[in-house]
Amino acid sequence: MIVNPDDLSCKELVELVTDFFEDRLAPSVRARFEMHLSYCASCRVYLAQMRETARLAGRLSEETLPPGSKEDLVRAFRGWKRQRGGEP
Amino acid sequence: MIAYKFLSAGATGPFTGFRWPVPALGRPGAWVEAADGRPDHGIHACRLEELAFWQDNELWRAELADPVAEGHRQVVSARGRLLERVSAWNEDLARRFGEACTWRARDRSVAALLVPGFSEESALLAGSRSLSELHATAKELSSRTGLPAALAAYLAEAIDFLLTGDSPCSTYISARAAVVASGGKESEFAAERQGQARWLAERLGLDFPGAHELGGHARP
Repeated sequence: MIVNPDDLSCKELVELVTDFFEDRLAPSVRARFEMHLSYCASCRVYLAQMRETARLAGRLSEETLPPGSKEDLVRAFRGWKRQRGGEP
Repeated sequence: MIAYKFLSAGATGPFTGFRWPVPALGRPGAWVEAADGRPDHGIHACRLEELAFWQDNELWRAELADPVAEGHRQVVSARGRLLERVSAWNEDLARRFGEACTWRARDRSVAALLVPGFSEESALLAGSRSLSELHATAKELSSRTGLPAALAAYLAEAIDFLLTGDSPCSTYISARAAVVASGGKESEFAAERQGQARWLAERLGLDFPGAHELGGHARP
């Protein structure tokens, strides 16, 4: 389906989610963002998931990590960097 | 200014999660003010002509304090309150609305296909008497090529969403089909949305300003 040129596509909405949460969208963009949500159930689900993720992640601090998790994460990141050919 | 506001279940703002104070004991809900006083951060509502753009679970009649600014298919004020719920807007009407929009898209497709000579495809769509029959026909035609396939794909998708209970998406697709049926005139999208809003306003018992009628189709 070809969307109205005035409207956002799902892809554009995804790119703007952070700005939406941080209230950094220009009023006209925000209106288009919200209008897209009014007819796109998938994007509403996506937005709700992002909101919930931000809420849960916002509670986490270094102190709340279980023992060993920090080392596991550092190892995972180093492995990921190596796979991409970056510095270890 | 009197305007209309769609909210999620429980008088909740669909984008902010804000729980609106609702009318009680015959009195309007409490006034709600924009957090920082900026009108563009303020209370959003829409006119009757814009109803189709903002469908959600609940529809409320709202009052916006002056000055009211124009937004993108909405109006915005620094203060607003809920006056009363439009109880005629419910799941059943939302479904009937989606169906009416689909039949309207079907009728426009039938007419649009006749002009370039797709009389067989036009007749097949015109002969569909139930939504399930139209769905099957549209699915079959969507595998063809050119304009018949394009229009049929819109119809099939509009019905797909209707069957999942997603009328807002279905009515959006029906309005987009109007653009295709018109040969690509983007203005037909807004015109169709306004026609949809007129249909809604009539069923809701709301006084709609002059606009074109949404289809003469007998179905609901």
